[in-house]
Amino acid sequence: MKENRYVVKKDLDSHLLWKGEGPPLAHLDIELTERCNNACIHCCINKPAGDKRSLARELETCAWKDILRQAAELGMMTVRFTGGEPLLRKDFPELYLFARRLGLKVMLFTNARLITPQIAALLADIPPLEEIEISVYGMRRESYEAVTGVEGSYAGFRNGVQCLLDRKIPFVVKGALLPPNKKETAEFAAWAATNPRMDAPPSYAMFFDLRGRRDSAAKSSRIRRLRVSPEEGLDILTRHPGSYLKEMSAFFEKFSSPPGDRLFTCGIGPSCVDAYGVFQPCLSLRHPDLTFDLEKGSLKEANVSGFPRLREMKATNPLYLKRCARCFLRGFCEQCPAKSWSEHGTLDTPVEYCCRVAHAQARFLGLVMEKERAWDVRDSAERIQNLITRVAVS
Amino acid sequence: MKKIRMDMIFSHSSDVVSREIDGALIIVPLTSGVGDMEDDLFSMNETGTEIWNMLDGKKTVQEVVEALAQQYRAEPAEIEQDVAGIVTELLKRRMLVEATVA
Amino acid sequence: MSKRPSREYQRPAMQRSGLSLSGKVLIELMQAVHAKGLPFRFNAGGHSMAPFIRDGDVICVSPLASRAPGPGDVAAFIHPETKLLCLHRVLSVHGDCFLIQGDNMPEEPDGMIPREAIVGRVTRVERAGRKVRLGLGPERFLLALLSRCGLLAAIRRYAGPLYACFSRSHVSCKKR
Repeated sequence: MKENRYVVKKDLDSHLLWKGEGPPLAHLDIELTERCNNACIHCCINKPAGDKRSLARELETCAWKDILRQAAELGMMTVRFTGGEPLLRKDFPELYLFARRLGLKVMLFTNARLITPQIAALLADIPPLEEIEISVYGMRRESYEAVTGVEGSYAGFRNGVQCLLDRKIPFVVKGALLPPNKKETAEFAAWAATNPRMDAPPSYAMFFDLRGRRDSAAKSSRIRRLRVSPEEGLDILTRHPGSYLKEMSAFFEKFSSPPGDRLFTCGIGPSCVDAYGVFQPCLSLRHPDLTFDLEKGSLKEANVSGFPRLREMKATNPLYLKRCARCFLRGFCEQCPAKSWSEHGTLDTPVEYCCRVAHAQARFLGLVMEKERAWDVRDSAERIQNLITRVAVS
Repeated sequence: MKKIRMDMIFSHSSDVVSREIDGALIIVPLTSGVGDMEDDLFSMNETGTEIWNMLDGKKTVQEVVEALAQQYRAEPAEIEQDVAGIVTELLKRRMLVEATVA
Repeated sequence: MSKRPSREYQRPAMQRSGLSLSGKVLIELMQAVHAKGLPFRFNAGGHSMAPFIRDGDVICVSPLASRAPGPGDVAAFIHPETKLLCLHRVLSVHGDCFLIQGDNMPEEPDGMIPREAIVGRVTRVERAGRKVRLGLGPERFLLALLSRCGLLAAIRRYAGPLYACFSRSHVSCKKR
């Protein structure tokens, strides 16, 4: 359709959608279920597909519809359906249609195994308005199923992807870097490039989170063993060194101050509602004192009451105060209350793995010397400026 | 495209959802083929919002034009042309349908 | 007696919109880099300068200390209404004000932008890792003149295939 005097295509960088500050709740993550039809070795949340206890506690369809309605009334534009595997919910088509009929855009995170021609037809007739994101665990049956632990899962994934391709439904893919599939990165990138929606190489999860519910020490130990080493992670992150350096230079120009004792230095969010109707500050943070049971109050109350309190929270752990509170890498490091909670059961314990990953990158960028610790650095501003200058003249 | 007559009545298509968020009227496509691309959202300026809200399946185009003429300082002929213009664009994008007169 | 209409009339308009990250962070980043006298590189978004600058192109904006933008240059400025960063072409200069318009937006000129809103000048455009040569060279004066006369859009319709032949960095863009 061409531009004319009544319809204007405006550059999104120069024209805002809102007249004021924007809606109080623009986006919400919804974990429709923790159950999954895969049993991936690295997953921080999955429960078996037939787990009776989870099934008994999961919200019913009408409860989800009420939450979606409340969110739409708060001005929400996009809902992300995730899990576990959200398509395991028999009422997924009903909830999806309900969300779309409220005028919401829907992001769907899925392993694609349960995408049938019927689901694809629904997604084609009523488009989600956001690209579906599909996690890919391997490029062949042996590697894929070594990760998922489910026989036949690879064929299911391929069938699901084909259903989307047949109906031209937009989707993107992302990987999880694990021992069974580590040698397939080039093959994965080449296959991903055949997807017209992929205008960059696929991203990888590799610094895996431990079990968010702290429900299995054995599974968390296995996840620890599966994590890439900081050096290996650095190799992946810097496979295009020019663009990595530019991105980091721009980041450190803006975010380079130690946070002090303030605990939440992230933007906090997007908010999440878990499979049992509990509102969380984000997908990863499940500390019981920071969550809000939506059976006891509205989404508006949860959204409004929670965040000011979080922003005021201070760290008290002496080790955190000695290290993270004084560290100029803090904005860049993945250390956060959610990570501390899943690793240690507290909100302010330094996570060693995050620290090592951040320091490996900082050494590559020339911001920290070998054996030096970033919280002891006194001339971080000069080092950052040197990085910016080096990048600018390269 | 059909010529818009003043005695026609239009209503919002069930292929879109309209929402008011933070003072802005947002029209969200529901089915495929609405709008220009599969991920478009549409918003209306103030006059467009008023027209949209009046196209409720009861008022004729003439009544919409008269209501605007009572509020805005503009020539009725200009308002008439603009209402017909924006209705045409909304019809093209399947955001409006002609209401069946009982 | 009926009430006289009192409100200022604005033609009804529908705009294609979407969620967009605020440009405030981008502007602050750029100004911080410019304060060091360095050019700022980032990915452009939008279609207002197509085909010379396309969605996803890597743009280099230089600080104004070196030279203020003149007719034909693509200026980076803070839009007076939305306060977000825009990259559009300077059509003419009038004292301390610049008449600015997007090449692909003949019906929506930005109007006269004051000097203090101009934050930089586009000095380089890259696409698929290669420098884009058309749009910032000597031809930019002609582009500004054609845009000012309202002829740029019409000529582009007929000259599109010709442009593709001459542009050294014409690649098919995968839209996301």
